[in-house]
Amino acid sequence: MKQLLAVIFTGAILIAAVWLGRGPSAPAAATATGAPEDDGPAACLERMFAAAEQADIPAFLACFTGEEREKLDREVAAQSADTYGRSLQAALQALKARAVHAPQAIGDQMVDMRVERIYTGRIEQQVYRLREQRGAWYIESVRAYQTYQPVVPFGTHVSEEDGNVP
Amino acid sequence: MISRRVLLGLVLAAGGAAVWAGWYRGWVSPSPAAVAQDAATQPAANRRAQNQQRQNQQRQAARTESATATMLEGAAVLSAGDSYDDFASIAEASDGTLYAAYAAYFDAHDQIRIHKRLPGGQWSTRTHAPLVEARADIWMPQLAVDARDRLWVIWCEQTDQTRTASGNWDLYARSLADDTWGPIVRLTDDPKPDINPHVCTDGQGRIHVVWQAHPENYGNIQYCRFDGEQWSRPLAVTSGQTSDWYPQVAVDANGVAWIAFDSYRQGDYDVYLASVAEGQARAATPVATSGFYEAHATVACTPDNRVWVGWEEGGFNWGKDQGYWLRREQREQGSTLGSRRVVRLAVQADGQWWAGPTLEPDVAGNGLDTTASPVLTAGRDGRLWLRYRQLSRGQAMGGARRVTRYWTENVTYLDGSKFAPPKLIPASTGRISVFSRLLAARDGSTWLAYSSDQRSAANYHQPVHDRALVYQLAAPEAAVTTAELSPYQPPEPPPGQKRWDVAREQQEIAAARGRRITVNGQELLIVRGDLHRHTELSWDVGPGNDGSYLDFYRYMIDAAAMDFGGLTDHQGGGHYAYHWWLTEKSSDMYYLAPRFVPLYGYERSARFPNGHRNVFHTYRGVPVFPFQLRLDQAGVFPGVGTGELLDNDTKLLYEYLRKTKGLAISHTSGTSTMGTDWRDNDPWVEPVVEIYQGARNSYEVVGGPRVHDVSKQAPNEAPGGYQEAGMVWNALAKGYRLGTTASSDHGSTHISYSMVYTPANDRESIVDAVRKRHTYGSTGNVVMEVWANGHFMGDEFELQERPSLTLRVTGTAPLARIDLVRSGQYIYTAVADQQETEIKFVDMEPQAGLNYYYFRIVQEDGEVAWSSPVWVRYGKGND
Repeated sequence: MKQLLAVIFTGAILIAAVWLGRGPSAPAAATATGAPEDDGPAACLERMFAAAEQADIPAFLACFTGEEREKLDREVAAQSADTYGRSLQAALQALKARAVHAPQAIGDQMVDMRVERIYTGRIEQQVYRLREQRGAWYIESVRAYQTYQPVVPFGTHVSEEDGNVP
Repeated sequence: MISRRVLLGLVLAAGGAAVWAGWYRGWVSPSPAAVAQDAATQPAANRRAQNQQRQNQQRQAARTESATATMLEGAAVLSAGDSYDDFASIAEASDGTLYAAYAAYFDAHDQIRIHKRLPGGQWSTRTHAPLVEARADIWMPQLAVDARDRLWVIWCEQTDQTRTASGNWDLYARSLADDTWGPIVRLTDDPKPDINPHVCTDGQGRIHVVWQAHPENYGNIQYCRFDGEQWSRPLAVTSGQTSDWYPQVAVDANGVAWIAFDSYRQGDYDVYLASVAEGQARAATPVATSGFYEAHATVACTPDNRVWVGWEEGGFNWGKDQGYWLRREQREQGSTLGSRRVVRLAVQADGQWWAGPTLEPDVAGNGLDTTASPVLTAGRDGRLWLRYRQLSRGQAMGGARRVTRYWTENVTYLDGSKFAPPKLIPASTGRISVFSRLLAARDGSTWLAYSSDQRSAANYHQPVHDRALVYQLAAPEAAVTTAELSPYQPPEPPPGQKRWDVAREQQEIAAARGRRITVNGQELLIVRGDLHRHTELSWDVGPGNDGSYLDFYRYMIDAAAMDFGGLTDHQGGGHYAYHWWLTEKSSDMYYLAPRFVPLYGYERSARFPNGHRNVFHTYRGVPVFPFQLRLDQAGVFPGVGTGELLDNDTKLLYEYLRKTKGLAISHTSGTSTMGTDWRDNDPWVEPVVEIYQGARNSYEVVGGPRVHDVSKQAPNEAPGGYQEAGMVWNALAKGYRLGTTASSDHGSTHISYSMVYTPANDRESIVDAVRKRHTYGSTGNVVMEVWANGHFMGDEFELQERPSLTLRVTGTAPLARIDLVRSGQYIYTAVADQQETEIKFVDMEPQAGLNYYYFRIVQEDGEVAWSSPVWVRYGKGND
């Protein structure tokens, strides 16, 4: 159970990082066929990060569904809201950057989204599964993260890299 | 100071000397005193007769002098020397009188000059055909004589061009009879180019004209006829998106007009034959449809009811993947534009296709077994004549070690079932792109009208002066016999090579062309271009593997299906005025917006450390900016490149391009010969860099994909040499705002793309988009877009929030890797396995001040794309 809660907690941190790290949304002029999407499953992540940034725990929990929601409910219930918020902020400190990949359709109303947390010497990768229910997207599950060494570590200067990039 | 008296004395003395000298040499008229003495001693009638006789003698002497001075190795030179002459044509009246004409580039415009062969065998002084415009811009004038012995001139002319837009190319005709020009007859009026005409006359004196029209921006063949009274309206022989080129027409004994042409309708160049009978066009039938380049078709009809079709056969998968890295990895799948070609023939007889005789060019001396541009005609006796160009090579003299190539004019005829030994036409050295005309004369001889730039053994790569000539070939003594034929067999593809996957490429191109984004309220589309292509007009290796300046358009429009591009021969063709005229003219002629938009361009090859740059303009008539040579140089002004330049040569180029609203793009910046140490930049004139070129390497950064690796190969093994200071990252580190492009250079095809996001595919929009750096470079038809906090790649902006970048990419194969670079550092490297992806990246620890970010993707198949950077000024008061 603890391991599962840790996964959920990590996911929450990551999503909060995505939200906190986002720039201003693209102006209307820059959104069209080719511009980044502002709705869909990505919007669910944004809602959740907004809630995390504001320490709005009800709104945060509202982004989840199913067993994940139940587990998070128990996680939050087990500690104070202040403690929960401070944990989020502490987790964000080490991050250099993050990358969220485009949704991959799993079914008619389900997608996986790959999220990478970029640190100086490693990248943690995690996949979120989101489901659409009654016109809105919710996080249904979060897989355990995997750590890998990037081909070129964050911040590597041109003079430090050896050999040809493939 | 010289006193007035002394000055007057000097003037009088000089004048007296000039008069004396002029009298002695017959340059001036007799003095009034001499005339008065004549008048006093001779009767008036005698004086008139003597004057007439004297005038006649003077005229005859002038003719003789002219004829003597203009004979060159047996060929008559029509040119007077004051112009650059091209597109020679010849026609014959019923009494055997010959006329010859050519296009003359004179005083920054074109003329059509016409000569008549006089009874004594000399050619007359010229007259000029009055054209639509006083300062005309014409193409391929040709002559014909109708049944009433009227001489007709048929030509293409551009009208209605504006300062920034190409005009309309149409066909016109005008007759000369009884020393009077008739009215101009406009044969076409479609707003798109009507070009590349071919004219023939049938046995009844009717004139048949075929040409390449572009009603839907694709080449279609059209036809019209003059029946002795009036010209018919254009008849569509082909239509739709066929991309048909260079038709030629011949008429058989039944009055059927046979039209041979080449077409890209099946995804490579093939030869087709169509016909027009009784005003109706019959469907084209395929003649040569292998995977080889089969183009420049010609046709002739012999009295034995045979229809002969000739063409040039070039490389397999012509214009497809060619370049340095593919060659290293043995992945080349195409042929260069100037790949070896040979003339082939086929014969339609008894409703079947038969193989024509094999042409055996003369390969003794400098001649190579490479022949092209056939022209067939049937003699009065039914004999088949063939004219073609042959590639030759020679060792340049004068200390140069360069082997140079050139083309010559050759004529042969069918002798039984094989061709007679060909005749090398004198004084015919020049480009491949010479459109000569054969005439079967009534006396049994054959005349050839041709042009030559008179390049010589001293420098076979260098034109001397384009001149028009005519040459007579005597009637062969051998009787005409019917050639024995064997079934036609198409050539086998080269071992191990498959035909290009046209459908797949079309899908990739459609994906790129279909992409739309909106930036600042403006919808943008991707246009794909090549901004670095050479042709035969380049004096270095152009005549070898780069094809003709007209092949450039075939490649751009069909083989690579580019949306825009620039012909960038060195110094616009070596500071040779006519080459630059052809460059600009052809850029107007193939302006097929929105399908294809040519820019006016050239390469300016200042050696390291100044660096080579390609230069572009959106309007015609900007002179090529000359090298700013130091004054300690002797010899010929460089026609390709030089390093003997003034210290501020590049700055002077920028100054010139600011005045003329030009664009410069540095290329091969990391080579030791052509590159630069980034000592100069003007962000308005030079907003992008050619980060990769197909002919050589990438110059992005040490260790980058397709960058020369000095740990594996010595620096001098890099094509063009190697020096690190020229890597693009060094320019970015200096604060230069440089977007990215990729283009080809010599020999390479189909692996370099300059992608531009533009609101429209026209010259101004493209260049404006390039100045905004809304570009990326790619080795394939990769679709790529990068956004940063609502701004598009190439933009520069300020931010108080964290930079958030979004990459959206559709590859042509699964992606292998994605890199994000921030100000000289890799900050994200993703291993990807999908062909299409979108990544949103947030820099959680942005650096205060100015930072640039750009993405680079590498596909599993090794193809690469480089986005333009965004420049983000993050935080307050930091830089």
